[in-house]
Formats: sequence, structure tokens, C-alpha cells
Amino acid sequence: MIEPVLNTPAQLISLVASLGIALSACEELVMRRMYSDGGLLSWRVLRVARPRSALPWLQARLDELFRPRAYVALVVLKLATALTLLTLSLVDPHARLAIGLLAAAMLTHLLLMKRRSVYGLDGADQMFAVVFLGLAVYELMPVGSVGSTAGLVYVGAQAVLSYLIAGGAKLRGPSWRDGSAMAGILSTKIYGNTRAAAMLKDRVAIGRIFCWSVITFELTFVVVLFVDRPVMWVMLGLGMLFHAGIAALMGLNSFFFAFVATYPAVAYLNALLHLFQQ
Amino acid sequence: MLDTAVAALLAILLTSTVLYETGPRWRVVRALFRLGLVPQWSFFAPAPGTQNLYLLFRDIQANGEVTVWRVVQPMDEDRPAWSFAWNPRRRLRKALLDLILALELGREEMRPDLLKLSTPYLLILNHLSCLARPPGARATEFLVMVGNPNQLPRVAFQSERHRL
Repeated sequence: MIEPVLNTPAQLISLVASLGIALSACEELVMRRMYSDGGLLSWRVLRVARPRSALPWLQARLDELFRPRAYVALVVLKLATALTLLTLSLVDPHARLAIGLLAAAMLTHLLLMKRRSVYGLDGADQMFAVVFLGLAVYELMPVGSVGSTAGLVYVGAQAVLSYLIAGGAKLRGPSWRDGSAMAGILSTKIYGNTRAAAMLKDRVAIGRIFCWSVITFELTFVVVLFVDRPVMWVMLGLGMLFHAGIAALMGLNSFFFAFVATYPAVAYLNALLHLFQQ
Repeated sequence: MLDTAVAALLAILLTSTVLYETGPRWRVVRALFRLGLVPQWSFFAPAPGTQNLYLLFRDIQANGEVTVWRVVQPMDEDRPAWSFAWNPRRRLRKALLDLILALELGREEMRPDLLKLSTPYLLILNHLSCLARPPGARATEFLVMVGNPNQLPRVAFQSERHRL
């Protein structure tokens, strides 16, 4: 009974996440000077501070890999991996071994990125790591096995957990509760939006509505696992609008792909829970 | 057997995610976080950054003259309208923000002579030292300014002068 909903979620996850990684890799390539010896994230400096591996030969390989030209080549490889995964997911979604290995390779790319520098990373990078770990497990384990199912369940559970934890943290924040947080964030140059900030300026009630809407949405997102399918689609639609709004107002474009990529897994988890209830 | 092992591993990662945010940060949880397998989901909370941070630098010329302060990268500019779809500066600006915040934190926790050896300080200094500049500059120094919107920024940190 699970079979009809098995292939589609993994295929959709792979498509959306690969698209997001491809975009992110293109953006990194445009800004590749950041990784040069004189760049802000120079390995010449970082190598002194980053944790060293206990295995000298591994550390030597990593040092080679994190140098400017090799690291840019690694980003190109990440782009190529994303495009291959995208194509394969469209053309031959049943090529489980190939998709699984590519997803594992993508996870390795993401973990290497964190190994090189913790500066400049964001929540989208973390969610992409979750997505590709789950996808690799799902595709590499035998079809219909507990291990394979666990891969998708993991992605769906992390998605729900991410909203719950983010909502809980906001609830603890005084500026979120009094409604000033969003006006403050939107007033900054890095994540702000002049028009939106002007709209919220001196309008405490609107700010409070926005802040509490975000908190409520994030805290109640977990309900998506237990509601009927039509309500679930509405909730996932709201989630997409939420992330589209974040991209539009805050410029966090990769968050849209990283989080929306988890939605097929959330839908899968919903179906699984309903199956157990029957 | 493999099924159970995989499911258990993923369950450990999920539990570690919860523990990292709410419970005791055991060594294994911290190790998984450092590895990148345990995420941190508390975005912009509980206290979101609502101040603008600026990194500026100036050079000291061979004749002793001092150049005007210049903002590093366009940290004082708004994002372009299309940044919702294409935002290549996102990672660079986030890296700058992370470095400045780490420097601020280090200032509270470290002695000044140790702060000069911290990773954020060295990354910023290395970057500034490698920027293209007119000939004749002998030394450089940098400044972190913090500002609330519609208010004049204030100096949060000023580095020593460093020979180029």
C-alpha cells in the first residue's frame, strides 16, 4: 500500500534539492574569489585554525582539496553532481544505485564545505545535508525495506523538527513576542527590505501579527503529520508561501529549495502514519 | 541487521538534533554537529540580529598620511531587487557577518593579544591586506561599526595598525 507513494516523494525531493544546490553552486562560482588566498575565506588562514584530522594522510588530502583552485574545482563538481542528479531524477528515477551514490556524493560535498569553514554557512546548507543523507539512505537500501523507509522518514521528521525548534526558540525571544523582531530584521542591510521595513515601522500591531503568525505556523506545523490529505496540502502550500516570502523579503533563496525539498518526505510520513492508524 | 543499524543511526541523529537545542550537549552530540550531521534549527531566535554591521579599513601611506575609511564589500548597500532568485553575495555577506560577530564575541572573552591571533581577526586582516590598493600604503587597520537603522553607527571595535 505504501508502494504508490514511494517513488514520487524521492523523485520530487531529488529534483527540488538538486535545483537548489545547482543554484547555490552557481552563486558560489560567481563569488569564487572568496576562496582565494586573499579572499575572506582563505584556506591559508583557515588551515591553521580548523580541526586537524588524526590521520595525517587524510589531512594532507584535505589540505590539497581546500586550496583555492582545487576547492573551486570541487564546487564545479558539486554543480555537475547536482545537474546529473537532476537529469537522472527526471529521465530515469528508478536508477536507484546511481541516484543513491550521487546523493551520497552530494552529502560529502556539503560535509567538506563545513569541514573547510563554518563561516558563511546557513540553515539551507544544513537542510540540504539532511535531505541528501535521507535520499542516499532511501535509494541505497533495498526497495521497501525498513532502512529505505527510514531515509524518507528521517527527512520528514527533521523538517517537522526544524519548524518546531525554530518556533520554540522564537517563543522564548522577547522581541518575537512583543512583535518588534521582524521590523528589526527587515531593517538590516543583509536580510532587510526597505519597503517592508517602512511598512512595519511604527505599526506595532502589524508587527505583532506577523511575528505571532510565524511563531504559530512553526509551532503547529507538526500537525501536518496527522491531518487528512487535503488539509496537509493546504499546510504544505502555506509552507511554500512562507519560504517564498522569506526569499522575497530576506534574499534567502536557497532556503526555499532546501525546505520545500523536504515536503514530499513530510507528505510521505503523513501517509505512513495514516497507514498505521488503519 | 543492516536495516536496524541504519534506522538506529538516523534515530540517533534525530535525538541529537533535539539534544543540541534543548538538552545536554554531550561530546558525541557536539562531534556530530561539528561534522555537519546534526543541524541547528533556531534561526533568527531567540534574539535576532537587528543591527547593521560594517567593516571598514584605511591605510597609512609611506609619508604618514592616512586614507579615508572605506567599507569592505558593499555591506552598506541594500540587496538588489532580484536577490529573491539570484543572490550570489549571500554567502560572502553571511561570512562577513559571522566573522564580525565572532570577533565581537572574542573581544568579550579574550585578552587583546590573543584576539589578534583568533581566526576571525586573521581572516579579516588577511583579506584586507590582499585588497587592491594604490601604491604607497605601508600599513592598514580596520574598524567594526554597529548601527541601528536610522541612527548614526557607533564604533564597536578598532584593530591595531598592521604592516602590509
